[in-house]
Amino acid sequence: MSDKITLITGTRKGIGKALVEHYIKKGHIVIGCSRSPIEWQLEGYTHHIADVSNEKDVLSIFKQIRNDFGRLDNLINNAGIASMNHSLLTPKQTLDKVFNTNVMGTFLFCREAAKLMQKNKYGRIVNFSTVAVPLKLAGEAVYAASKAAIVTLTDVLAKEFAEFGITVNTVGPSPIETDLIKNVPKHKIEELINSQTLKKLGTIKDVINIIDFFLKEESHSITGQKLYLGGM
Amino acid sequence: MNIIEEIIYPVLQEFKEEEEFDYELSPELKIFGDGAYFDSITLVRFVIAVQDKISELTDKTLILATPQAMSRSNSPFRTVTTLSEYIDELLAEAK
Repeated sequence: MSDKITLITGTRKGIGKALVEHYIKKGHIVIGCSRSPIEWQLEGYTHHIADVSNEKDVLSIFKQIRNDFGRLDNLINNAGIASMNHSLLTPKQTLDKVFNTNVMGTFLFCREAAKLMQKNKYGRIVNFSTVAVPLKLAGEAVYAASKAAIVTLTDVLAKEFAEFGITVNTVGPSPIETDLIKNVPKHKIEELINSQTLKKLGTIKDVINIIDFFLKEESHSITGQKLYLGGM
Repeated sequence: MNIIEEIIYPVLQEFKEEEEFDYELSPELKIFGDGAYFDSITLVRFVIAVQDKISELTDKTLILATPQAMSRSNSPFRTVTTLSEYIDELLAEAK
């Protein structure tokens, strides 16, 4: 097979952007998306402006991939939003926003990717959860519930897609210094880190390491797995 | 547009060659249900391929397996003819 075709969501900054750089370096053809325009460019990378929870936007990305390449090898569902608040102070609007992006977005991309991947009986999908799921952190009810939904979604999709040679796995990063946690009080992050086996912040490299493993052709027997960083 | 000739038959032919089915293409060919060739997973792949074919030829994105379609007492996926009537119905609604 020629160069791998890899689709990554949420690539404007942070982990998503680092993943684009990493897989371009590895020789993949990378397609990505974000809600707002990016301020950088890379050879071999195509960017789409899209809301991952908007079905029309999602279908348009996949139509382009189908026309340009006729196949997709890897999908990394990185796009996600966080919300830290006591549940008694959380408006419904926050639920809509968080669940739409995290759960709906992940589902739509998985569905469309699998339609394309099943033609070649090959595909690797990696979804993003968080250590907030096993740690059941107070103040993260909505965010953790949305990421728990992704774990269950992944487990079921792994079963449904198995016949098509597609693996679906979850990576659960520990807190990493990105914009996602910039508004979380320092003592909350420390509390979280102290409940991990490894009492330190994670790095983007740690996440990339796991994704590399899930995307390997040799990982064909690894599906429906959840790999949390930091020691859960 | 001749839905059977231009959409359904080409996809059935592709499946016949890829999966080595021994069916003959005909309007009465049973696609899904008792005495049909496709199991549920093959039906899923077939529906995706038909949707792709429709999109390729008409530039319309149709969803064939809607909850309404799946709960009809007579499944639209029974035969080539019932599927073609169903696609015709959806294309008319999408106009």
